[in-house]
Amino acid sequence: MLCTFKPLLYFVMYRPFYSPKKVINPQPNDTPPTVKPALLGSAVDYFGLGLVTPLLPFFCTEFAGSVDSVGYVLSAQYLGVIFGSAAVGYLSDRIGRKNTLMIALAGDVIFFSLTGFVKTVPTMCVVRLFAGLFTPLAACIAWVQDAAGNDELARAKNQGYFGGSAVIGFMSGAAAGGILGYSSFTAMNCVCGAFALFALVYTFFSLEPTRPHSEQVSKFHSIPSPLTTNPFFPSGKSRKLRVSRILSKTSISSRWLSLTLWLGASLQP
Amino acid sequence: MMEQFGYVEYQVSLCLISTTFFHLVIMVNLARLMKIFKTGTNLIVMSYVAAVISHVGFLFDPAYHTDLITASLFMFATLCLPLGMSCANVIAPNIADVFGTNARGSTLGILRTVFNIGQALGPSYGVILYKAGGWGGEGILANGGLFFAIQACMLLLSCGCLLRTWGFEKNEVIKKKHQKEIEIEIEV
Repeated sequence: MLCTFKPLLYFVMYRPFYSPKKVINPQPNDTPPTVKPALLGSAVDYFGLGLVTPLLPFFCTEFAGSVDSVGYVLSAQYLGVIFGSAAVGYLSDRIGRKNTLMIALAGDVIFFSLTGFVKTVPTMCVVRLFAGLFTPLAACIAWVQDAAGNDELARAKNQGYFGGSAVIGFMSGAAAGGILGYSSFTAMNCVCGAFALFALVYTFFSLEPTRPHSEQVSKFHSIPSPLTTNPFFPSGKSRKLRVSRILSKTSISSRWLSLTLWLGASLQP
Repeated sequence: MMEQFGYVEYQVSLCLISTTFFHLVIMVNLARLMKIFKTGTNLIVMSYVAAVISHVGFLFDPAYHTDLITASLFMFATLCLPLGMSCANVIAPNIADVFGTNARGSTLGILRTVFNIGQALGPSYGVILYKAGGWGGEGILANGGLFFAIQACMLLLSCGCLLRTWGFEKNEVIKKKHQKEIEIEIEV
């Protein structure tokens, strides 16, 4: 089966962009080993999301009598992710990518497993809210970006691997949920929690990538600790100008840009 | 939409599977694409343009009768998801490095937050547009109605925001900015 698909996959993924004779990146191993915990973390998180989403209508029909409650559960989850992403990103700068990723994965272990044992819709809302709060994605992206250093092409390659792992995780979760059905809801959520536990253990035994640019900047500015300045949470008065600039630049370009991006992307008819 | 256009399950599955697989292909080849198109911002602009063209294509596709055309339009209409989001994630650390220290995580966290706000607002916004214009508008907008027209306009408006991200692409620019800031601080 795999032998049949391998040439097809090769043709679709690689053929349009380069031939085997002309190798753009000469490195034999494209993915540095330090990226793997982040890829595993994102795959586990999306696996959990992909598993629960198609089965939620059945859960709500069983415990609330209609599928109308699906919106509440999903809203609670998105609310958690909205606050969780910012918090996890901030924490990853403060206590390190590895520690943050481990905390987020520990939360995933608990709340992904609990999802399988919940029997009421309000409880499910609370559990999914916390599952969303412990999203590891911001720390995972920061991890893969740090692993590539300042080389933009390497960062793009790592970001591609991150996106690929997320897509594969989501597709696997949705396929597992769809094939095994609602009868295996509890078991599958426990399996999802076990995956998160595996990712947690793997992260524990992995090395965190260094943050090269932050070290350079701290050396330039003679700052004793690299944790002293932050554009969103500044600690020094001299950073006010920088804060205003980051707010204007990032707000206008990144935030509204990405908001409209996501509005468009999430509206697949 | 399924009822209105007489879609059956396999056609919807075809669109979703082809779109997801297309996203995977794009993700795997992101670095090569960035090498070809030089900068991430160029890629985002390209994805916007492709999405706008696809939305306009949806406007004038009155029957959605050809599976291949519809699936292709679907794929390119959602191109801003793998390309735009990934390139924004690649550009964001540059912005964080220019304006802060050790701030990549916070910046990416805020970016993820914004993505999720958009994702959470999307369904409600779609329902509002559906109730306002529906899929089956008459006249010049054919069957696509208000929905695809507004989507295309929003994507075009977003292109204006990209002007501010140009210049944060290359590390040389970042180094120059850092050197200038350091010189200013020394002078002060």
